[in-house]
Amino acid sequence: MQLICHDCWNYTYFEVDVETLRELKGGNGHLTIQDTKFDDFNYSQSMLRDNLNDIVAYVIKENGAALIWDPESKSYQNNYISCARCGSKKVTKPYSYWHSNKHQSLDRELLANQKEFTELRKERRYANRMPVLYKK
Amino acid sequence: MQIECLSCTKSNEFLLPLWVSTTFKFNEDDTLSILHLRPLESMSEKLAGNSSLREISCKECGSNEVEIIFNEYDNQDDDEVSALEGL
Repeated sequence: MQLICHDCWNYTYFEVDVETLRELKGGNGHLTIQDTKFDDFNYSQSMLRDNLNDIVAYVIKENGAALIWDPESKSYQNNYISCARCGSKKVTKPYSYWHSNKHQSLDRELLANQKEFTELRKERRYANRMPVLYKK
Repeated sequence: MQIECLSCTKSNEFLLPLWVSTTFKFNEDDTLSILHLRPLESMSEKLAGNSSLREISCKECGSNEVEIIFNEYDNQDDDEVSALEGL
């Protein structure tokens, strides 16, 4: 357990804003948008993963520095990471521990986790609703 | 639409940073897996805005001195008109 949400106690799914790099390739009046590649190295995907790892590692290491005081809710909120289940920004670490990620293509990883993400969104949308009876 | 590097004038490849909202999860072995990416900025709006001129850089030389020409035929028409007026 690396981080935990203080509203729904989720410790698995989170959201963070990350900067990545795209390449604009011009020619014959057309503009193509694609991943930045140097030889065979995909710099866009690498930058995204590095920035994500950096922010998460920073929040875990400097827990207090990543928190800001919100006078409206009278609570500390995470400046970088929010909960992907309930959207709360009351995310802190229970303790600090970190491993680097093993390499995997971003497209494959997104495809492999597509079903899980869909289930996650359904859960958020219908979590607090009663079952509905449909008439034929 | 055309982008020109004013520094090296050779490259047709440019780099533009963009912010995305990343949904991720912690795996059981404490590694990260990315579940979903949602762009926070529109590429077209960013290109049309003047602020993007400083952010776009040439892939070849790294220079930020870049000119975006939205309609490259505008100047050509003016040139043709002035040439006809000269005749």
